[in-house]
Amino acid sequence: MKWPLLSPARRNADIPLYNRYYLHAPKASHADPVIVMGTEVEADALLAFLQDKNRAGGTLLTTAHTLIRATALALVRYPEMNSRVVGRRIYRFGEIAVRMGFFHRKANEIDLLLIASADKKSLEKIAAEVWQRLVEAARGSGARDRDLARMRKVPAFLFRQGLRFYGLLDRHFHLPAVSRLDELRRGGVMVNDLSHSGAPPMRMYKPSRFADGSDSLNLTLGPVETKLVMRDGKPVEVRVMPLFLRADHRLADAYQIGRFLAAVREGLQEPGRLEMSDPAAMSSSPLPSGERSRTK
Amino acid sequence: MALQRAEVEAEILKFVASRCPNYSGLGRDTDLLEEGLLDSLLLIDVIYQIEERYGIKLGGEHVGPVHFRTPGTIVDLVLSQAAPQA
Repeated sequence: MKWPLLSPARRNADIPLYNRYYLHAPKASHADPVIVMGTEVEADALLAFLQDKNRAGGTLLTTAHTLIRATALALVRYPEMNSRVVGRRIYRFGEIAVRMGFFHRKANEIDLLLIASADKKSLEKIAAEVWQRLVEAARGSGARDRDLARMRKVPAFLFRQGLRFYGLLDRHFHLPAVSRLDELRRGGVMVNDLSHSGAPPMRMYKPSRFADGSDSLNLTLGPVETKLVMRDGKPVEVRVMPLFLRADHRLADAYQIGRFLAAVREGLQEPGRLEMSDPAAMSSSPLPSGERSRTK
Repeated sequence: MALQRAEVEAEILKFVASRCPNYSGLGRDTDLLEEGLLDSLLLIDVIYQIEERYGIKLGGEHVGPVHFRTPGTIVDLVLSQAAPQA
């Protein structure tokens, strides 16, 4: 197992019964452990915050960067959400790394990037890393881009058989990291910022799962809409953005998924929180004693 | 051959306008940030266009509001980066 996971796995006796039903369900039962939850973020404060930051200069900040940071800080608060299933066991990740989907300009397709230790990085640092990767991808000049270009050349039949064989080994053996593409597995949380201009108003979004099941949580931020709400008995216009979370019921129950989503929402609605220099202070659930990094 | 400001400006304006079809009245001083026009897709498209069209290499350090606030500041960036290579 080459992911930076903490060992030992969560004890079977500590896993709630309904989570275990899904964890141990035979494949033939077609049990569906996916939970999708959606909410709305009041976006006026967030958009004003970004406007102020961008007026001041420095690195250009967008909602994508705030989503990465808000997600990382929510994981600090709820570390049990930073887990993944391997076989029929649940492991926690040893660090908070967030993956993000982006449009690969050179290849005209979606690719992923990873921000390692996102809880320990400032918004500006996160933004600089994201832009660096996007510019690199636009040129197709990065080492990862060359790896992806090689993968695209693999014929469909070999690609399918290779995936099957790799998946089999991956589930049962501690494989070495074989390429730069493995680096993305350092994080079990993925974020999408679909708030770009031209995106339709969104009421629902359920992203697909990766074939390797490595993305336990997937957060998607939709485009801004203006809505009328009642404040102090008067109708007021506010800007809102939809926020969707796809989660794995084998890892968490709906109440845990809900409070995690609420923590991300809080971060986005009160963006001053994203600038806190000591996110560890926000942690309300430290790592259980006895867990150590398996990969160290 | 040195780049001509008017020519670069016309090309940048045309390119940005093509990516913002629902926005009318785009001009040299339109604030792309305040108007909510500049997202990561447009920004990377602009960088890609600049690099392809003018043979300039831009780095992550150039991705700041100071360079991409308006079509005019984008033109300034192109001319400033092209000058040493001209």
